[in-house]
Amino acid sequence: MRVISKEFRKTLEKSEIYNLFVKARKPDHAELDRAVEHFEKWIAKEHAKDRRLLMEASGK
Amino acid sequence: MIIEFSVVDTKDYKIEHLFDSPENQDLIANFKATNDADGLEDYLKYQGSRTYLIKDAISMELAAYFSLRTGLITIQVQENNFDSVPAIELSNFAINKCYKDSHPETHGLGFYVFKKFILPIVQRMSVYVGTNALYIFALPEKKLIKHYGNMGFYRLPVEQEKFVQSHVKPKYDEGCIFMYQPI
Repeated sequence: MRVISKEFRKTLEKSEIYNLFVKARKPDHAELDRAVEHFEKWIAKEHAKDRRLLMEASGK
Repeated sequence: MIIEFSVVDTKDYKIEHLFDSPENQDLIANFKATNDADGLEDYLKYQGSRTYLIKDAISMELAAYFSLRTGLITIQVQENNFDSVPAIELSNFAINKCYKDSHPETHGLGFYVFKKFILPIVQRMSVYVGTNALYIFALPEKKLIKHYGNMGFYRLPVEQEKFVQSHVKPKYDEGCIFMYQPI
């Protein structure tokens, strides 16, 4: 099994790019959430229309 | 205790594996990627990753697809030293132009698929297997890069971006831009 040596651990700790990944913050999905919320409202209306058309087509 | 997990449908869309049913082969034959991305169409028809189809829950039209696979992000920690970050690659992600054409007011389906289907799978996987990031190779178009930025993907500093792209990126992704987000 692989084991990271103490020397390499020190190298990693000094590495800017390593720290970029290790300390990276999770992304802010606020804009994504807003877009999804908007889409959900739209698709709900679309599907309500589709259901109505299907009902009409089946004579119910 | 280990809890099994499954990928769930939403009330508006269904998710299936590509090989779940023979009729999916007919559906993908008619898949047309938006923005003339022929490569994404070819990949769907002749690929090897785990591919998911997203279908409209009412009409059962094929709305989008995406593929996931495991991967490593190689980073240069010193001139001759490198390390790797375990990650998941969103290897392909496309919206069906035929679906968009039949629903011309559709806006934000990509965000929806990402939030409701891709992120939950990736986040769940990271509970079971050591994966620290989700990454993509985005086509080098400003609009697309901004779009992925809105999904939470970051670009690396220039030098590191060059390094990652020269070590990880397959030939067919030439010109594409590496973007990642922690999970």
